[in-house]
Formats: sequence, structure tokens, C-alpha cells
Amino acid sequence: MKRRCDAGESWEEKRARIIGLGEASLHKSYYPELRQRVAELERFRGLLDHAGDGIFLIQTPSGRVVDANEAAAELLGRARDALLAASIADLLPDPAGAAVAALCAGERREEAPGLTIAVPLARGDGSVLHLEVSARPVVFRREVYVVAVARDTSERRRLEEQLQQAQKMEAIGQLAGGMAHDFNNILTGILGNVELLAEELRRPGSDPAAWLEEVGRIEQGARRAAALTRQILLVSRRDVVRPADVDLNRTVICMREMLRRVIPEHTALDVDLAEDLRPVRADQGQIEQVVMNLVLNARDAMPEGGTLAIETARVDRAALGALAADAADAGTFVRLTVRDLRPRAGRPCSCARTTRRSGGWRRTPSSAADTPCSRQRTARRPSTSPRPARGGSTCS
Amino acid sequence: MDPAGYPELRKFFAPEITFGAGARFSAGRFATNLGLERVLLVTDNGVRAAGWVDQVAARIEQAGIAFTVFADVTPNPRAEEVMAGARVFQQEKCDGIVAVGGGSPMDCAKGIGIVSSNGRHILEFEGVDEVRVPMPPLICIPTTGGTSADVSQFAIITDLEEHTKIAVISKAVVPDVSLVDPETLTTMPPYLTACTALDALVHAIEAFVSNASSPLTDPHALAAMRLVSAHLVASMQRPDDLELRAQIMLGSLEAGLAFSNASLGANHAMSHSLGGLLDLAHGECNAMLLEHVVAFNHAAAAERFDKIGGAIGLDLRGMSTQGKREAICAEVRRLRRAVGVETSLGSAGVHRSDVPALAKNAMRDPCMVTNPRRPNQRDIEVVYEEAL
Ligand SMILES: [Fe+2]
Repeated sequence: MKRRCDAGESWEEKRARIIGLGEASLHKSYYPELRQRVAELERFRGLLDHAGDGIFLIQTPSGRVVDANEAAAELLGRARDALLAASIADLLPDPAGAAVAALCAGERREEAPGLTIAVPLARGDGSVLHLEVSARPVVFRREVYVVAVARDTSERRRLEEQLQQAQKMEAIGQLAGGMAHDFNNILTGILGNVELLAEELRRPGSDPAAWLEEVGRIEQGARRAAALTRQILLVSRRDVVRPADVDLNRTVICMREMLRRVIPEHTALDVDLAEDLRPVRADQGQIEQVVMNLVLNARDAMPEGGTLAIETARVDRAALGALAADAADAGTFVRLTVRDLRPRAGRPCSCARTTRRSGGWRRTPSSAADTPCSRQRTARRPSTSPRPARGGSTCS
Repeated sequence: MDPAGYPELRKFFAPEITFGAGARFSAGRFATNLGLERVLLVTDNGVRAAGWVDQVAARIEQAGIAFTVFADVTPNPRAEEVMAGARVFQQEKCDGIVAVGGGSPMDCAKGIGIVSSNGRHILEFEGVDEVRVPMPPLICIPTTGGTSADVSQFAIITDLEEHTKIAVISKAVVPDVSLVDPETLTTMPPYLTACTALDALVHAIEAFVSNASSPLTDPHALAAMRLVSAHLVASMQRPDDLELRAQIMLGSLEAGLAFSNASLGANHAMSHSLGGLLDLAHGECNAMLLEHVVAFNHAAAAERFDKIGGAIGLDLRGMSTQGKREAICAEVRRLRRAVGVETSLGSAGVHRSDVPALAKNAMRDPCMVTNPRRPNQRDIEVVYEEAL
């Protein structure tokens, strides 16, 4: 461990080093290290400034911003200097601003869990951004700070909407083929009846009572055509969300015909509806879209065919566990399950959605052993053989 | 001078120095200036009892800087004490050191600084230029004259296992700030005052005759000899005379500036070896050896010794070389007796049988390489024997 002073070195060499002429004969210089650290810091600053998200370092408990990156300034449409020393509550729109300020001021804030809040931000130019604000406490040199990250989710939301729209259009495309066929059948019937009626009309002395029957058939055909049209309109509608009391059983029944068209012939459609189901507060169009998406996923998960089961049930809060943990009310919940039952694989892949009376959907994940649900879809010839289902209600 | 007539390359290192009564009170300001947030205050219990540590701590606290006191330092600081201090430094997340006291706390503080930034055992830094990573900022407040650890590039640590002292010599251990306050000398016991002042005199003489001396160090060495020799006896007689204390403190500082840059010689090499064996006071060891080392070195630097004679107040005109040598040795002896440092190696407990081992260790001491006369081991044994 120790090296003695006389080890392999002449007195002259040692004397030169004592005088201070050795290579390592230096006092202290922190400067090279300082420059290196400053360079590292500048690099890091650049990284931070060019991050897509706005990042704020907030002092606690005051809630004052002590540092913010360039992206934060851009997001809020203000100069970076204007952010520094401003209060976070004044910078971020509520409820995000108030929530982050509360996190800063809280007792034992260093142990507080982080938070994530989505909030719209009105910008100076009149545009509205959708922000997702996450904040959590961090400790630097014994001081507690809060780091808040504001992400502009506008683009993501727009893409999600686009994707949903594209999925809907795809479903419509699939429907259109089948419906055109059906529509043609109906029209053929109507035309046949019209021809028949015309012949009757041309024949002198014909019985008007017989005409009425033909007219009745024409009317029936026209009504079927109108119902078909309504279904198409239903799917293609891209309305704003209009929450209303929605009967899930009725929704499933009304969609059954349409769903039958998007699943292949060798796949059975099994519908099991609970009789004591209460209505939920939701948007009819959205629910239909969700059901359609789940069915398409389930269909794609079993290309070899099998049984596609749709089921509704009434569940109470306790049975939902963590899913309903943050539900504000204690009301009952309604569950809609779409399952693909493959004869060979033997393992169902369930994609269920649960909703409660006050609205809001939750995705129930597939159980761990489940085959993941495929989101890929391939165009298929729609089947035209509907199966009867339990439960009864008519579509309008 | 080299053959071409140009002086050899020389460096001169010194900390930022504040000298004068009340210098100790600027500790807080310097700590702030160095960016410190949590200071390790290294001292010993004697200095603490004298009250100097509390005064310094108060100023540090007033500056808004936290501190932890480490006072587990014995005279002749041991490697274990350095390592214990370094652990405290790390545990308390300190970022700088303030040393208050004599040579022991200051050398210990240097050791703590070296270990805390280099992360190895202090004994691994023995030798010259072995400290590669700069240590944290160090502020020294010397409360004894003499050792000059507050300005020097030396840290002397006792290796108990090997019964010797090791020297860590590096420009990197020169403190950043030295606050030299003569008021702190007033609480020193008389015998310690005498020993440390004699140590300063030895520093000045050894630095002046060192083969690494230079025009940068000579004026400091001569000034130190003049100040110490002229005022030591009077200062011992009037211990509360602050002006006399200031002269001794200044002499000690001048000696420190000289020897930190010109290094020392056989006297210190032999004294380190003695201190490792017997745990004697450093100044006392040096004082016991001085006249014998002067006699040994005189012929190798006769002209320089003439100037030393002048500086300590002797009139050597008309004397033979041997006469001059005798006169200097006699004056050293007189001064030593006048201040009551009369022990010899024999009376301090050194036996003739110890001499070979003492000489062997002294030969390996880095101070030996700048002695004006290059000795062999037998030469050193003879000097020890004469001092018995
Ligand atoms: Fe010394």
C-alpha cells in the first residue's frame, strides 16, 4: 500500500519536485472541471429546451417557478423570463394550476404522489390547446421542489379522432356492400309490386281491395329501405357528444343486424342480455361505436371462426374493485362484454366495457392469460344470416 | 545559478493571507467567498478550551454556514484520526474545512481534505506530488507560532504501525486562506511558546541553507530569523505583550513562507524520525537537534551561515570558519536555555540502540534531499549520538 520516498527515485528528481518543477506540481485548479461541468450543463439545457414538453421547476411551498425550459415558454406563448418568479397557479389554467399549487403548498409534500390533469388552454391567438399536466415532488439538496410537465396533446387527440373516423368509415364500407345487396333486394321487391300494381290498374274492372294489398307490400318494402338508411346514417354520424339515457340492451338489439354483416358466416353471434338492466347516461353514437370496435376486434382475433358473444350485466361497485375506485357516486354499474370464443384455442379474449349511470367508460383489461385482442382488421364479406337472441325489444 | 548565469527555475506558493489582530473574525466571510455551505471545523480540545473555536464557529454561523466540529486530534496527528475525520466530513456532507489550532489540527485537516476528495488511505499519499485531485477549500487559523502548516505544502502524519511520521508534500495541500492572528498566541503555555518559536527558527535556518533556496525565499528566511531571535526571550518574559506576540507570529509566518517553498533539511528529517519513535513535541525535537545539525552542515554552506549569524545578532567578523560555526552553535544553545528548552535526546528517553533505526528513517525522509550537505546513514547516526 505504501510507497517509501526513496523507492526508485534519485534525490535530484525528488528535490526538483519539492521545488515545484514536477508535472503534477500543481496547486488547485477547479477551472478545467468547472468548464467541463458548464459544457455538460449547456448540453443538458439544450436537451431540455428542445424537449417537446414544457417543463417547470417550482419552489415549494411558494409555488414560484424557479426554472422553465424554452418549450414551456412557447407553449404558454410568453417569454421565458416572464415565467421565472411567476406563480405556477397564474401560469397554468385551472384546475391544473390550482392542483399543482396545492401540491407545492401541501404538508409532507415531498412524499405526496404525483398528479396528472388534462386541461384546455386558451392561447392569446384565440386557439385552444389540450394540455396534459403532470407534476411530482423532487428533492434537490435538501429542498423540496415540484417538477411540472405540460404536454400539448392537441395533435394526439386530433389523430385519435381521425383514427376513430377512419375506423368508422371502414365499418361503413363493409356495411355498404351488404346493404347495397339488401337494398337492391328490397327495391326489386318494390319494383315487382309496382309492376304488379300497374298491371292490375291497366286491367279493366280490377278489384281495388287487391290493389291495397300490393300498396301495403310496397309500403313495407319502402319502410325496410328507410330503416336500412337510418342505420347507415347512425354509423356515419359524427356529432358532438350528447349524453342521454341509453338502454344498452336496446342498442345491442338494434345493432345486431348490422353487426351480423361484419362478422363472417362461420362465426356465430351469441347475444345474452340481462333483463334487469337500467339505462346509462351516455352518448348513443359513442356507445354504438364502442360496440362496433369491440366486435371488430373480437372478429379479427378469431380468423378461423368460433362464437362471438355479446353480453350485458348489472354489477355493483364492489365487484369492480379498482376500476370504480375513483367513482364519485355509489350507483350501480352496467357491464357490456364482447368475447371471442375460439373452438380450438379454448381461451376467450374478452374485451369488456363498463359504464355507470353518471357516464364514463372504463376499459376492463383482458385477463393475463388471454390472447391479446388484435386491432388489425381485414375486409371480409359480411354474412347475412342473423341469429335470434334472447331479450326482446324492437328497433325504431 | 546555472553556468549561463540565469537563476534556476523556482516557484513560490502562498495562500491568501490575512495577518493581524482580529484576523480570525474574517473566517465567515472567507468561507462565504469560497462558496461553502457546510464546514468541518478541525481543532483539538486544548484550543477549544481556550475559546478560539467558539469565536470562529460564531462567525461561520453568522455567515449562514453550517458546521460540524471534529476535535479528536492528538498532538502529532495519527493516520487513524485523519481517516476518522474524513468519515465525519463525508457523513456530514461537508464541502470545506476550517482548521483552528497548531500544527496537529492543521496537518490533520490537510489529511482529511486529501482523503475526502481522493478517496484513499492517507498513508498512500506519502511523498511528493502524490495528491492529484484538489482537496476541498481549506481555511487555516493558526493558534501557535512555529509550525506554519497554515502556509506550507507539507502535512506530517504519524504512522503508528511503523512508528514513524510520513510527509505528504504537494502544492495541492497549500491552504487556500490563512488567517494569522497574533491574539491567539496569548493562551499558549510558555513551554509550547518556546518550542514553536524555536521550530520557526529552525524552519528559517533550514530554508535558508536548503539547496532549493532561492531569491524568492531568502528574504523571508532572514526576516524570520531576525524576528524570532530578537523577540523570543522578551515575549517569554512578557507573555501578554501583544506587540511582541505579533513579532513572533510574523517571524513564524515568514519562516513558513520560506520553508514551504525552499523545503527543509536534515534537522527536520531527523526530527520527524524522532517524533515517530517517541511522540515528542515537534518543536522540542528540532530544538534538541539544531546546534548539532548546524555543526554538521556548516562547511557545506559557510557563506550562508555567515548571513544567518548576522540575522540572529552575532558579529562574526574576523572569526575563523570553525569559530563562526562555534559561535552560531553557542548562540542557538543560549537561546534554547534562555527559553527553558533544555532537554537532550538522552533525557527525553532515546537510547544509543535506537540510533540506527532513527537514522535509517531520517535518511528516507523527503526533507533530507534539500539538506545542503548530502549525508550517509552513518553521518546521521553520529549527529544523533552527539545530541544524546
Ligand atoms: Fe517544523
